[in-house]
Amino acid sequence: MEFGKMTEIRDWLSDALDRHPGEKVPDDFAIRLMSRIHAETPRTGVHKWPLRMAIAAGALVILGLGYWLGMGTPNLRKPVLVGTPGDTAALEVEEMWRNRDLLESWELLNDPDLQLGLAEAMTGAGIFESVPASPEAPR
Amino acid sequence: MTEEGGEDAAGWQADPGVALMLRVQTGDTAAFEELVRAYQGAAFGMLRRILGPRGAVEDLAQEAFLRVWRGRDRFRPKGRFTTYLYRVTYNLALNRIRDNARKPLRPLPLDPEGRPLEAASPEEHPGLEPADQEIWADRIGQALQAIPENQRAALVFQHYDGLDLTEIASILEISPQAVKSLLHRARERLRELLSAAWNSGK
Repeated sequence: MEFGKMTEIRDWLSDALDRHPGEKVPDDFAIRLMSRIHAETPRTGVHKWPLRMAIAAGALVILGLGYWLGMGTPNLRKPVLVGTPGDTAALEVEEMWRNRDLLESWELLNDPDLQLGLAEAMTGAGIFESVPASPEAPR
Repeated sequence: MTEEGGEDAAGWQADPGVALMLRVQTGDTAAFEELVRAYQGAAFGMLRRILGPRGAVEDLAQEAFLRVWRGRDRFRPKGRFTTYLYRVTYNLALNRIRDNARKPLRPLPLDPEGRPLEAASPEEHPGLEPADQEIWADRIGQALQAIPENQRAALVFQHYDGLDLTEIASILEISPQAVKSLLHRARERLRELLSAAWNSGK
């Protein structure tokens, strides 16, 4: 007989040992065990991949949408040159003068002092006028 | 000796437990449930005989099967599935025995009739009166607890689970010759403890 395959030699002790009862397995043992197995199955590595892939796809969609929405906006890094500040002011005054009729319907422009101010602005008069010294001005 | 019991390939390839375990390795929970139902009785019986009447058999059986599930990727079929299951279960039982040796024993929980709950529903043994069954269950249980744990384990694996020396050696992580020695000493001691009762005919 092969050494490792040696079987038990039966005697009265074997018969006595046979009288020891086994252990009754609770009817719901397998059910309770399987509920624990099912509870931890989603945490295993295999099942994480679909979730990770979905998160990555969502992030890509958000990035693409953001890029698409930003395509029509001006490049804020590049300075916009529209002439010198003096040129801009002259253009604005000229525009106001050209539309004077329209602007006069606005109550404030009916003010004679303001009309005078606009006329002076167009002719350049008064801008460089020195203010006459008041007799009350302190010396 | 191979890792899972040293049997030849033809032995484990025909083993239904190994076939189920190979399906379990693919994440097949239905195969695992089938495996649990097929081997739960063996695990419970082994744990009861190793741990004695005070052992928390169900806790350890559940932990053993959970370890089999969690370690399914590491399972390598080199022997019968029972050898693998018993090794996992025995290691848990051994840890529990050593933990309990450091703690005071708790009193046994009793059923409404005052009997220990753990021993309330043993499997029936044909040919014995129920009273005699209980007497012999206690007698054998006490005798098993009276011998060292490694002798007890070797005897339980051989007598109750039908494992051969190589398989027992694999579980206990000793040589087959050492297993043979453990079995000899276990039987000698049990003969001393049980011969009087056996010869009296009760």
